[in-house]
Amino acid sequence: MTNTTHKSASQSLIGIKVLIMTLSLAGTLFGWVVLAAGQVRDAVWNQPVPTTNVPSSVTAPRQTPSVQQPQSPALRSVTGNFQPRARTRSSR
Amino acid sequence: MPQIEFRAMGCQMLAIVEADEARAANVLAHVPRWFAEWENVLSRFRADSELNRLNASAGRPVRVSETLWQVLEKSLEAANASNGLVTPAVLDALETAGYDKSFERIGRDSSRPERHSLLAPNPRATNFIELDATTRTVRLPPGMRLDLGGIAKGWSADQAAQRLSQVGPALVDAGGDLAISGALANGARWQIAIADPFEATRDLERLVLRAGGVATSGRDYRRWEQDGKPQHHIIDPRTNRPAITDVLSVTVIAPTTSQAEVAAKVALILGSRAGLAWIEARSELAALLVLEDGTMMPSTRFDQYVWRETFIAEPDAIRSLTFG
Repeated sequence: MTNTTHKSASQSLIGIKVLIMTLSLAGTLFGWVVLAAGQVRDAVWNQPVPTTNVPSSVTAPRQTPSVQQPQSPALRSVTGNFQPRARTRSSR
Repeated sequence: MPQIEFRAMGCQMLAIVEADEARAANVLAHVPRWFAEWENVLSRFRADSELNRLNASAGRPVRVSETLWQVLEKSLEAANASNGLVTPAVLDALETAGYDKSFERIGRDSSRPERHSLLAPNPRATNFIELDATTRTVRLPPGMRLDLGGIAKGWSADQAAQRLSQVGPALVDAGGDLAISGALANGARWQIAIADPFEATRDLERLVLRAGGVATSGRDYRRWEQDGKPQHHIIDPRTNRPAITDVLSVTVIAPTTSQAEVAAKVALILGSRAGLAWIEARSELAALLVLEDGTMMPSTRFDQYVWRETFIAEPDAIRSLTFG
């Protein structure tokens, strides 16, 4: 009966020690997580503010699209100015 | 590009040639004289024209000039190719409809008493014209008088363009009938437009063409009233009256201007369905018909002449693609 009582007290002490160690480890991990989150936040906040690129199509006056739009600004119309040399019509 | 404008044959004329200024100016100065000479031979509105002398000599053989012979041959070929729908033997019908003086003198809104032709309609009347090529002699059947109007204009445009082409690529506009001798010096095609028959200052369609003829036949301009009834100048030889048709105007692209002139007239006289079918059956022709209600009916081959906006890469872009 006495042995049983002694054994039980010893086991309780070990349990308390394990609990304290677990709590300590958890606290350390939590601290690391908080620290990492802070670093990430600082990194984000220290980024240069990006320029807002508004597409020219939003700001420019709306135009009726032509049938064939150039696919790239490197393309240019070679016959954009249609200038007829003469007009066919009924005799006049 | 050097060009000259003048009036002849009751129409506004334009001639353009791509050549250096001096050479172009030299040759273009001759063009009004060419047209004046042709008009003196071919016009029915000049009392002393060779055509009128021939008309006055119907029933007797008459030796004619090379110019009149050539245009007469063209007109008879046209009559044959069109089953008589486009024939020079319509002068009596034209005058009966009220077109008895130049269009400027008719006045669009003058009301004229109705007259009736004494001649029976006969699309094959030209079969009775006798030609002798060895002596260049023509004998019209008694009572027949010829009008070479449209075909004379087309032939003149073709002739002038051909003569100008000795100096450089040329375009001749004879009152709306266009003759193009060949591509421009850089290989480009000529840009021309079809005037809107409902609003002549607007372009209905834009075309590009290397060579050939373009002509428009329409009842949108040369029209008048006779005894309160609307008349126009395109006679249907089957009735000897102005053609009754749902087509307002027809533009035809053909190897020559005189061919285009004839084809446009045939399509207009036949009306939209039969007219378009007639055009489609001839691989050398392309056409755009404009109906009275504004509907446009292009032939299947017309599209290849329609101007399209095209694009090329800028030289800088090409360099960056090539050299990285």
